Amino acid sequence: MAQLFKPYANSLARMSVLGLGLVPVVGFYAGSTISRSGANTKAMVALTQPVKFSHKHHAMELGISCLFCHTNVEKSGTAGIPPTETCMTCHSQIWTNSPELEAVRQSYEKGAPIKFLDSDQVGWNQVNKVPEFVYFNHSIHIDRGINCNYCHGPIQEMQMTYKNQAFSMEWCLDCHRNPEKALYKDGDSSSPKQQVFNLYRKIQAGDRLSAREQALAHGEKYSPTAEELAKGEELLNEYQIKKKQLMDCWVCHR
Amino acid sequence: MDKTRPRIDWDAVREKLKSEGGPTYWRSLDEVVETAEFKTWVEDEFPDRLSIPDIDRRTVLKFMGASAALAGLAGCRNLPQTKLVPYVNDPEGRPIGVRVQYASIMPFGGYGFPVLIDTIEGRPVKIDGNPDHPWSKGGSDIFAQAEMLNLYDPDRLRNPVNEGLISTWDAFFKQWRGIFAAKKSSQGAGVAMITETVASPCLVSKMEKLMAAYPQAKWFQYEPVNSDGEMAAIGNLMPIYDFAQAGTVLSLDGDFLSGSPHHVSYAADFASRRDPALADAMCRLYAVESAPSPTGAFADHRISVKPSQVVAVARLIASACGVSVTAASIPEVSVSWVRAVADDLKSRKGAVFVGAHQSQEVHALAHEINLAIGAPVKYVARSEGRPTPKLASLKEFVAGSFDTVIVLGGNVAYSAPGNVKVADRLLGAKNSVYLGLFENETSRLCKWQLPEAHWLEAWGDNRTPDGTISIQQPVIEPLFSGKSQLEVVLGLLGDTTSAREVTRKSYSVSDAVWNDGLKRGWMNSSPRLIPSFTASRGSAVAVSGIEAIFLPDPTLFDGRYSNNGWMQELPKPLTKLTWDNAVLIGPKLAADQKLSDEDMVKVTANGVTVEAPVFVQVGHANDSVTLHFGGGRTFGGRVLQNCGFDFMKLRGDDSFCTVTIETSKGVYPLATAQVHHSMEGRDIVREGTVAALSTNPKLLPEEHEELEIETLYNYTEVLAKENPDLPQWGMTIDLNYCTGCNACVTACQSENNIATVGKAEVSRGRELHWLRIDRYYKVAKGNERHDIQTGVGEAWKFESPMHNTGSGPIRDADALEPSNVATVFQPVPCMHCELAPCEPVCPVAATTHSHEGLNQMVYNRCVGTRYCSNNCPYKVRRFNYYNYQHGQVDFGFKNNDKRKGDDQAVIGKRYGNANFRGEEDIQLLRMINNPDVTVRSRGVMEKCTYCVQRINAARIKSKKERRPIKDGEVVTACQQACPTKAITFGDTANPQSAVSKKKKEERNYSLLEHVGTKPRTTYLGRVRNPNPSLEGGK
Repeated sequence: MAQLFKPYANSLARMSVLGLGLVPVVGFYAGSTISRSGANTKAMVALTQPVKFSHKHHAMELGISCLFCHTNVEKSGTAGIPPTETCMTCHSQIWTNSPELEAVRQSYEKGAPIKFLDSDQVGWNQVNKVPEFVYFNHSIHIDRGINCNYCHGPIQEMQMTYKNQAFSMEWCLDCHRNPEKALYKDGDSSSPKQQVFNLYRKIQAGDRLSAREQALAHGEKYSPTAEELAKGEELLNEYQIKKKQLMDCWVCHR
Repeated sequence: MDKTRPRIDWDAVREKLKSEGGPTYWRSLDEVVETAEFKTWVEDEFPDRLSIPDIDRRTVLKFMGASAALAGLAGCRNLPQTKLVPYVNDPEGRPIGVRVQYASIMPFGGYGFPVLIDTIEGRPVKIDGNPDHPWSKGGSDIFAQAEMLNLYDPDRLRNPVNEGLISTWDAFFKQWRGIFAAKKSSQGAGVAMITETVASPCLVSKMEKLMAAYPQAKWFQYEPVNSDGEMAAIGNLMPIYDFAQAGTVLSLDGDFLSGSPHHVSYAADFASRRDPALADAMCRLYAVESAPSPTGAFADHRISVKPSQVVAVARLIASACGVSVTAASIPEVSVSWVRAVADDLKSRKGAVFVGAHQSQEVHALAHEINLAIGAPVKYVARSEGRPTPKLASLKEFVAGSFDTVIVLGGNVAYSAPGNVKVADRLLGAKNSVYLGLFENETSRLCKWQLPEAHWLEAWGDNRTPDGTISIQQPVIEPLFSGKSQLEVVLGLLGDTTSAREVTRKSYSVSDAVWNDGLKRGWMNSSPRLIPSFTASRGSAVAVSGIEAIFLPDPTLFDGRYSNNGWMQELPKPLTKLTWDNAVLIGPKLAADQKLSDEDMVKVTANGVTVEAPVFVQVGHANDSVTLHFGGGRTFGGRVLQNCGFDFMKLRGDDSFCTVTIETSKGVYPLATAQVHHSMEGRDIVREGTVAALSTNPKLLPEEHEELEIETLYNYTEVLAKENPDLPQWGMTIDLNYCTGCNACVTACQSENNIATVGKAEVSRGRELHWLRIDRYYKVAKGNERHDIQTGVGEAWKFESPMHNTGSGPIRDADALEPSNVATVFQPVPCMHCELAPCEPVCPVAATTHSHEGLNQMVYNRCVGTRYCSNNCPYKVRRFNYYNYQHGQVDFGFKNNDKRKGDDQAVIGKRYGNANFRGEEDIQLLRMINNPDVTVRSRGVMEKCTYCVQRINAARIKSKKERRPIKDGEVVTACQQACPTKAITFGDTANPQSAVSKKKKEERNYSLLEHVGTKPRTTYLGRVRNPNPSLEGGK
């Protein structure tokens, strides 16, 4: 009888045994990669909306301030989505017949919340979202001069809005552990709050941007220099930010 | 536990309480004799669960495998796509996510209670007292808090209904204006309007307008909790007490510290005079009562007598105070006691308060005493419309003949005494209409049922009992096409003016004054003071044998909160019963009749018999029973089904009467929380007398051992040193001010989205209240005698006047003698221990310590091992066994084993009938949730957070304003609700903060200090102020 197993079967067996050990490792790695990828988190994926609203057009090309629509961002935990009447402030005068704005006009006429024209879905699809057990507060971050783009990416360049981050806890903690990385002063704003909105004025006016501002404007990761970090540490003191407090669970979860 | 409790061995109880080894403080009779049931509750927080050896091996392995697999997958779930729905027109001054407060006034028993309402995006979420208003002083009570749930109750009437068919308001007004037009010729003969007490000036004026248009029409008023006795005695007067001025208070069966929102300011004033620092000027409280109440529990001297004997005590004291009355002594009260009370009343600026249900003579005598001693009581004209004795008014309606009946609010068919047959009259009327929030026993007898607008939905006005007018401003559009009483009366008048305009026009003030009044919560108005009056005593009520007293239920009131899950599940202050009322009897009657908790008895009075279970209430007067009405309703919602017993039908003309008690067959399981979450330990409550404070300032008990807790690691110092610039949060609860009124528990429930779990789950010990109020009893033991001068040993001894002649030493106090029992309340939230035993045992670090000293509970990390709860010596952690927030467990206790999951059929059972509207109801109930607090779901541990959402809000606000958090800026929900300000919260690292000052007081102590947990929540001992001349040997 011929040999059932050729000599290379030994190597095969060894490799299979080894391979078997690798399966969970690879599986775990694949699983975690997929779950963190845009396929699962929808990061960098633009969602369909009732109106094809372009931040690039309104914020950059027309130079409308963030605060014109997101009126609560300095006062409240939530930034707020503009009511239909905000859109109609201008669009009762310009682009009055544009088919793109049919949903807005219908909402205003009927006094009903904005809805998709081609389905029964009411409202905008939420793009940036943290789970319901996370209590993020916009106003305090704006108050510290944390720019919109720090979390929302190059929003002034977005035609269709997408989220720039998966908003994983790891990502939040990166800054809550080392807040000095994110703190800076642009040198020409009167308050940290103003600095947030000043960035867009500068981008629009074509002013010279610092390296950090460049990165913010384009949604790129920025590694601050040692000098900037030291400056950040000073700002921690100035703003009375307590790093330990920022890492307490109940600052965000409650 | 589901099975019924073992019977109480009365001899054993008596022996144990007398013996040296018996407990000093105890929560239930089971605890005294250490029954097997009590031991199971002490040994295991949730005693009826299966342990692993009870399950067969294969099932265990299956579950282990499944949990391992599912635990991994649980993290992979994607967040569902949510929608953002913006406004069409942005309302001004109401930014998204920011709380806006409005002042308004809550009607209760006709009169108003001034409140502030927190709204968020136009949705009211929390009600609290108006701190600037003298009639609330910022505190609130359980009923004011519970109104929140009444507003969002899915069982509310949603449409006008005409003879069972859904109709419209237009159809109603069309038909009824026709009816009234036809009545014009007969001047309204045969028309009856039935209301409750109405103090709203607007509504009164419109009612009077209607009455003037139809002079033959009649206006009747009825509600079961009324001032009939008081009005018979002193006419249309309202006594307004100023307890801040009173040095002595005598309560004659009157619970002025709880039971009604109108008592909130009384409790606050009274508490201001109970500061131990006042020493001799500290107010002294005497209580004479039959059923134990929070006021009796608070009293320095409490005498327990039968309800009919209260008048005998009143006569004795009146006579001793110089009021001319024939008084005969009774065995329960000694001469020295009467003399001491009268002396105190006269020399210490006393005041006498009487329970509303007491007889005319007691009221008359009390006010004669008040006049004689110059009590700090002012008498104002009653500001309600047509002040009427309520029972007489209802009887007049029943005696008359009316073909057209309009019932505005209330529930006469349920709340009328059994001998007043209202139902036939309502059924017999040709035209009848009922306006109310809910369908109920009355509405089903009327042809039309109209949905009433909740007071949070409608314009109007009201007066506080002292006559101050406030505007009731709505904070939300009517949820279900409701109209207020004012709007309905306007409609019947054919007046198309809106309720807002009517309210506005009835005040001829400038817009600036009006807006200012709206904003602060009251208008300038002065009550009419009455300088003198004569009281009429009437005739005494004849009662013999065993007496029953009919009192409103402590949490359901007269039944108006019966469909309110918060109120049903709130443990009643003394019995700690939930979801049921029972026949409350004293230990002596129970021992005589060989009765034990949960035994069914037949109670017969006025020819009517009701079968109900017995509950033994320590300290209850002998030979009498207490019957709380408000339970046992049959119709009017899904929550109230199968809850309690209807004792109102036993009642006759008076609030107490002769009854017979017969043992019946069987037992009825009652869910009482009194043995749940037991702490076994020494030195749990500390109390003493004000006289002994100088010698024993720490109020240490006799057997106290000085504990030297040796630790190498002083956490407090380390925390403070490591975090010099962070606040270190802490709380003190001053037992000296706690009346056990439960306002804090309900406020916490409202603030922190705490679910109700239903009777079956409560009986398993699974109630979710983050804050519980432990109620401890204490009886003098053996031959101990209290030495008031030294204060050494037992600081507070209970002498029974029956045994104390006033000259000799106290004899053996009988444990079952009701007057010998003293009660102490102790609210227990999470202690936020600095060395928290729950933290090291959590395998997933779901409970950790913050740098500000908070013991954090992170719901999204919790995997539900319950190790933390097991390791907590204070038993303050609560576990979500089901998805209670989504109605997974049904409320009806009969269906308690249907645990099939989250499907609609099961949700439907929660409400006990097939009319469940499913997801829509759950959506409506979700509107009540505080958006700043996570809604917990199944499998998660939860506990008191020190209202961390409020800490965070204050921190963010202060940081934006570039300043540290001010002392008093963070107010927890329980602290805010407390009428007597027993709770203080703040930064313990700041020596100037109110909480630090409280903690520095000598009376400050930690609960179970010997465990070494270093709790951040500490207590201050209770100080009583007994009369030295009534103490032993004097």
